[in-house]
Amino acid sequence: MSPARLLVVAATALALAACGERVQTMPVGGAKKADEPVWQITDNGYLAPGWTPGNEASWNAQLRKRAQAQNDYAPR
Amino acid sequence: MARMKFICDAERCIECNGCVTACKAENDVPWGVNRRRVVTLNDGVAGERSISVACMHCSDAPCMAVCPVDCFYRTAEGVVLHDKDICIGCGYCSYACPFGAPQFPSNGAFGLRGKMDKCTFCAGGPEANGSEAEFEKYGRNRLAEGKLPACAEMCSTKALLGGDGDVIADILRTRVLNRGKGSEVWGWGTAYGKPSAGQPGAQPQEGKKS
Repeated sequence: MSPARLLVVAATALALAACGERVQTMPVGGAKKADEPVWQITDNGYLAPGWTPGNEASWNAQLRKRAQAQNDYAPR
Repeated sequence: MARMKFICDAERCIECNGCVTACKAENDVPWGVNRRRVVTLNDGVAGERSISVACMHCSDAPCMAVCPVDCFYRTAEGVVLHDKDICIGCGYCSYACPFGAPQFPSNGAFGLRGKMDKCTFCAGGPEANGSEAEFEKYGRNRLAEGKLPACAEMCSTKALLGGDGDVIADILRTRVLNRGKGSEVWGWGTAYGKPSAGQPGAQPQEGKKS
């Protein structure tokens, strides 16, 4: 391979090197993604039994009940 | 509306580090990062006390205040979370946090500091609840599964309490009143300050000893 050809190949490789770079710019209007409400979940096989996913009141009741498992003085 | 908090009962903690292990296993926390650790006061001296420490999910979080790229947010349940897609790993939050909660994986070239990682109260991050993407970046979202943080739920002596601040404050208060002592070293007042009117997260009916 002639030196000129080698130079062209090297220059092309260098020029294309940035094409593999992932975009790092922030979207216009703020980059932060909005998190969804904690009680919104599709069943992934790990849900605790006894509450209805998507229902806030049910989730709150479940967490209150669950917290009482830490209470040695709670009536059983 | 629930306001999630942790409290560690220094009279019960036996420094077993089970909470640390549970956290690492549940969230697949990378090597070199500990979202939770056990701190012992007066180690080796009679009367030593231990507490389990992680992110306290502050009502007025200093990490949120200093972040130059504003990657933190607080959920409706009072859990302080962050977006790893925005974090630049600058480390300001670790200097601001009084509990040493923000951690940085440093396994890259030249000791490169990765994106910040911290306790999420097992509430994941801004990705879809329970998704693979959420688990990869932030760990399990137990809260969305109707569970409490793994560290608190598996604590063998029930020293570490996690959940709605009102509920766990009541649990701790009942304990302290029953045994007649035990919140002097690390009680609710030490962890979260005395209640004051108008302050977010202030606990009503604070016990005298808490």
